[in-house]
Amino acid sequence: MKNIMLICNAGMSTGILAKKIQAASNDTIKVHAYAEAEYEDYLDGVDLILVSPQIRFLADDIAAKSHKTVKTIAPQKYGMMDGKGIYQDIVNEIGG
Amino acid sequence: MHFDAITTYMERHITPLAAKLSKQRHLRAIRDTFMSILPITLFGSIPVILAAAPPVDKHTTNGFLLAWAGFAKTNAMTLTWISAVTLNAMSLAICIGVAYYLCKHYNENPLHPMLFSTIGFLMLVLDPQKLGWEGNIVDISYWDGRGIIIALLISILTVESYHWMRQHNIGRISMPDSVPASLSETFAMLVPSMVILTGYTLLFIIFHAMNTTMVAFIYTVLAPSFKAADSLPIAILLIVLVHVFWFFGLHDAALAGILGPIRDGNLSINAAEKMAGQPLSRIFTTPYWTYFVIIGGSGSVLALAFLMMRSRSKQLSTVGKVGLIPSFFGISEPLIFGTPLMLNPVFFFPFIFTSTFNGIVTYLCMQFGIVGKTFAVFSWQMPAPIGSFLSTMDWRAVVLVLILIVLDGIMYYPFFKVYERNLVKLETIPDDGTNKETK
Repeated sequence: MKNIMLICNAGMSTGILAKKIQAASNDTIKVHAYAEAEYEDYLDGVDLILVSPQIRFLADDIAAKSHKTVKTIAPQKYGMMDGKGIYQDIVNEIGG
Repeated sequence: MHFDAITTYMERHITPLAAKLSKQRHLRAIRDTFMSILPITLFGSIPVILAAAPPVDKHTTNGFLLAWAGFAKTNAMTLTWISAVTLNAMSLAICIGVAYYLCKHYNENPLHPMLFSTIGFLMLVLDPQKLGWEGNIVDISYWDGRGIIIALLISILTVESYHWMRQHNIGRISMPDSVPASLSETFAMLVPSMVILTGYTLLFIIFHAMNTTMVAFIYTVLAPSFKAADSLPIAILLIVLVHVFWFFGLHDAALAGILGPIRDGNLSINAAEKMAGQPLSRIFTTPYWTYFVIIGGSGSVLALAFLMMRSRSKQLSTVGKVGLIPSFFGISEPLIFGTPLMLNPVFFFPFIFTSTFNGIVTYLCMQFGIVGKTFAVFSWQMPAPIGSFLSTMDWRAVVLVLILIVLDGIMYYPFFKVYERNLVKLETIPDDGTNKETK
């Protein structure tokens, strides 16, 4: 099962989104949300990192530290909490 | 077009600035620390609230109030002590936290730097009154918000110098091969440790000779700037600054390393004053910010979420429904990115100035005693009407917040209507709609 990590400042707004993406995937992927201060402790087995738009300026930094693929979530989809749309982006990125 | 040019220009400069600020190791360590000490400040707020029983006299008949006042009086020592070592020992927690996060940044084992920072803090912040065999008396007054500057100074200097000395192998003596490696490691650790601890000792001796403590000295010297940091102009400046960041869709985390010490420090001072029965002196605190200035999250979008719920535009009503509950808990990202408010010229003025307005009105209300000042904090996710009450124990604070929500709605309304009209127009022309509505 693919493992997706969402990161925002406090892990709050991504926390809401994580549930929606998980639901949109029919539980075929695992999605967890973390605060930017703590994510480094949970990198094991993560296939893709999605960074929330409000901390997009940290995406390079996170990519350098994690050695993983890091993408920024599109602001509009983030605002709409568009679990389906973001799940589709995930599938396009790493496959179901 | 004009607006686009300005925003493009601004974004090119503000995004790298945000990146730079949030990657700066000290600001980052401070920010992460302030996020981590929440359990302590929250727990420490409870005794302050319990002790804040409304005054009763011989005419009071309300059994609850009498019982509360009695409880507060009987347990005054317990309540004061619990808050004294939690919320009011904030600087100690910050000193330890910053040392930890800075070590993490350097991949340095944090144990020793944390221990040394704690010792340095205790040595330079506590003021020994009488030391002997028993009945030792030490003054701990300055480990509340007034000690934050020195807490930061000690933790940063300790970790930086420790790391530097370790990097440069100061004190690493080459031992014969027969000596176990761990022994060599012990020596390599001992010299930097002795240097750092001697450093604190020298500082203590100097300030003791001047008949003061380092923390008291620094606090007195810097007192005017602390006073200035708790003023209406500074409050306005910081609110506008944070909202300009958010207007570009950038989290104010970049500024948290600066905002945190000011806001939490002021809160801790107010809490100490409350426990001592003194009038509260500070206004610009963490609860002032989270419960009065940004009602519904940055941009004070709670009122806007209510307006959008029943919008004729499909997009706006969807965002309103998705965003209302999070906004109630102070999370405004769905509205900022979904409406979007971010980089939206229609919403530039209300987005920046609604919170500024809240900040000014609240500041003046607190300054003139119309509403009580804050002395306790819960997490920023606590809905503003509840948080404003618990942090002040003043029902007038709740009234103020409710009035502010209505006024925020009135301020957003005309801009919301203009934007809604644009969107409805686009939504009725299906082919054009999808691309233009984000512009």
